[in-house]
Amino acid sequence: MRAAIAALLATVPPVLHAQVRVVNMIPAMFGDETTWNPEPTLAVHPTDRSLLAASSFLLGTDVCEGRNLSPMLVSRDTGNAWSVVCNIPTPGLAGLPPQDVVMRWGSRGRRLYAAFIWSLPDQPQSLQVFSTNDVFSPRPMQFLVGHDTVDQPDLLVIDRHGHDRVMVAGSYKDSMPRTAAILWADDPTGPMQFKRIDLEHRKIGEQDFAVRLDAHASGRVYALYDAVPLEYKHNNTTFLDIVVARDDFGGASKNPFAALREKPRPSSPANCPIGDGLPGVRVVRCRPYAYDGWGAVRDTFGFQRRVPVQLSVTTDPTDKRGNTVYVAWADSSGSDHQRVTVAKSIDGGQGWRLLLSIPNAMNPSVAVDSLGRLGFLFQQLAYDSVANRWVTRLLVTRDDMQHAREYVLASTPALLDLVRAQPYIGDWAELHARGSEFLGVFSAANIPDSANFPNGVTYQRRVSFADRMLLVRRPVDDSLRVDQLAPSIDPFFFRVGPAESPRCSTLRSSVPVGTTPPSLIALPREISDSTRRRMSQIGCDR
Amino acid sequence: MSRSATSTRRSLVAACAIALIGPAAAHAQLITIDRLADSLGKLRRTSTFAFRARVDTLHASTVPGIPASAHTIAVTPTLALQCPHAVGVYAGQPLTVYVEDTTRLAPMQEWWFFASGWVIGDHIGVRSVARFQAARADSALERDFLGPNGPRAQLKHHLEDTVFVVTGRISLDSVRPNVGAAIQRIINRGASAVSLPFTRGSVMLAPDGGHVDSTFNVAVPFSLILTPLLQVPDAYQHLLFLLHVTLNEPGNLVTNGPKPPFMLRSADDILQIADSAGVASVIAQLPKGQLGAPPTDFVAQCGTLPP
Repeated sequence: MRAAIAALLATVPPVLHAQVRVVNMIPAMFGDETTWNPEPTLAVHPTDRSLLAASSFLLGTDVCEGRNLSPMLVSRDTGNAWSVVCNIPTPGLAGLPPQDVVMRWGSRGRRLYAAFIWSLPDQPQSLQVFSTNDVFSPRPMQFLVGHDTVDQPDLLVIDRHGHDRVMVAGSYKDSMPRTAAILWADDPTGPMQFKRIDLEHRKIGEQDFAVRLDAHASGRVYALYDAVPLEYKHNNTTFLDIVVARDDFGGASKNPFAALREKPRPSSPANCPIGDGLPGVRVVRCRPYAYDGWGAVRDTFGFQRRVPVQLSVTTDPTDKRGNTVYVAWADSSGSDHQRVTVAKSIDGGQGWRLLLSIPNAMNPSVAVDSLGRLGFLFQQLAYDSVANRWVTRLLVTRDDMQHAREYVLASTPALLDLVRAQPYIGDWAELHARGSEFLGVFSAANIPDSANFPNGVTYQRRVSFADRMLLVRRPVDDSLRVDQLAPSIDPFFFRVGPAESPRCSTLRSSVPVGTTPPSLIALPREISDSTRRRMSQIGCDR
Repeated sequence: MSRSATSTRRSLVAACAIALIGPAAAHAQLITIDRLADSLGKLRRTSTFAFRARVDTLHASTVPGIPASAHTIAVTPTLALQCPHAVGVYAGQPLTVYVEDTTRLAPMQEWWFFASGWVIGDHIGVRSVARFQAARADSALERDFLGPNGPRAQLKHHLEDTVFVVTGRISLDSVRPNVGAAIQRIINRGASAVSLPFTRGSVMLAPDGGHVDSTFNVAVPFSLILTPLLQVPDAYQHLLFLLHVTLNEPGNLVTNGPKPPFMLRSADDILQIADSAGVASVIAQLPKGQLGAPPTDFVAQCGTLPP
């Protein structure tokens, strides 16, 4: 009996007991797909811990209802297994799936909302917003609102007197100059019409990129957006201001998103002054950006296009007043292709302190858990003697990046033959906090190589780790033969628990006393000591 | 399975997958056999799944997360006529079918289901678009798929004004996502005339049997640039390029052969050969001398051998 139990335990994947779980999200019966799946989004149900929804540039042309529906991904077991569900209406679907998809659950989990960009016959860049009260329904999601000429939507759903207040932020390109704006409505499945809030109060060159939102339980809503400063409108290089706006009444103030103003002060520096007294505090100004809208097949940045979508904002739930807020963005310096920076404010967005900058990185995403720990997710291009690699890293800190647990969730090769189109692995990744754990999604090459996943990985599709191959079943001679399937870019889900890895104590005991920990910006491959390197991959306290 | 049944199965399956995506799905659950011939082509275009199945249980579900209801039935497919590429082989595994009603359905019956994807995870759930009792529909299905309006006939018609037929199997180590990326690769090479990158090392069915050198007009229509060339696994990465005499119209993707130049007129001229056996069969029926020998390395889809 004991032997039988031991044998049974031996078959249980060790990942089930780990503090870190990484899952390839392509379902088992969808495992013959070879499309590329960048731009992942994740909706975390607020009350049902097991229920998650996601999307990642999924094409359903030959699976769902012909040209009418596209799929989303749904998990009912906290991300261990995923199913494709055909329910996103996409009339006229041809070669491309819905783009820039963002999904969020309503404040009490009654409805799932999805916003995305869809090409209509007379409007190639139309915002579409849908919702459903049953993600497994055989019926398509319900249409809520559409708006022409919008890019990079973000969704925020907050509770307002028992109803969902839905905000859809984005770059609204139907005004001159193009501007950051929000459409919002209370209980949008009812008769209420969506109203519009323009966030920009300054004369700018244009706002052509993205807006990101986050809400605090106090009712404060923060908006983070970028804008091309007027001074650099006609410059050959892209320059950006990174701006934070705030509304203290759930986005519905009489003068919405004007609660935060720059303190008037003498202009300095002369070419990019801060302190004009207008709504919206500019965290940084006139930052150069290596804009590369379509990318190039032989691009030096890991085949990834560089567009300034890269924004993230989050509040600290342990600060009852909602004054503690973090932002992250991407810009560039002379020594990197693109870098990500995280900054913190403890006075509601008025003053900012830079915490950390990571070179050659993108897709920053920040979240704070119920313990007040900041999570900072990004994807960093690393060079080694073999190939460029995209390294997906999560830092979790209690002390503003003085110390942090580091997790390498994936380190996958950037391969030319995986370049299907742009973006390569996507313009964003997502990090969420629920209780004391972090959940998120990112996209990466799907080659099943254990060396690519230092914290382990679970695939649902057929793979051979021994041969580092995706597998496909072919019918031959009235039987099924297993062959190699072409690799591609897949979405990955991850979940990181609050405890330190049990392997850390053993590793730590072999580190000489007094050894200085490596810098947080150092890639694991740059750490010569193998014990320290391993500790920097699996989230050991330092 | 009897010899005749095997033959029927092979014929049906061989003809199954040239289907092009069509207009919105019909929602009729029950279609009489008399109307089948007229509706089959539309069903094939609007359905993503088509299979013959044994009904196992009414008001049941095989998909975790999908509760059994008056609209769900559990079935086991015995023959898959249409297989979504991402799903691959699924015959023999229990499925859940969402139906508007269960009229005339009973356990152990055999039915043909035309359906769209609903939930696909560890198991498959589909929404039925239409269904036919198998015993009555087998012959009609065979007649339609092999008849004058079937995919084979349509392909033959398409070939009649085609000058060159180029088939190719995409190699794993080449850039082959879509027309746009292929063009980008050519631009980066700085080359003005290169071999089609997605047909490397493959059979060229041209009158002279040679390879086709090509150059691309960069001003390709946006819709064609985004045309996916690789939506299918390696086993099915066979493409069929139908080349026509070029008019050198701006915006065409032009390939310059020896004389005259040729072009791909639209995305419809780039076909994925999921049903390669069917394609080979049609090509073999064309007059000798017009095209080369049919390729021999095709693999049919949906679990059967070429006819």
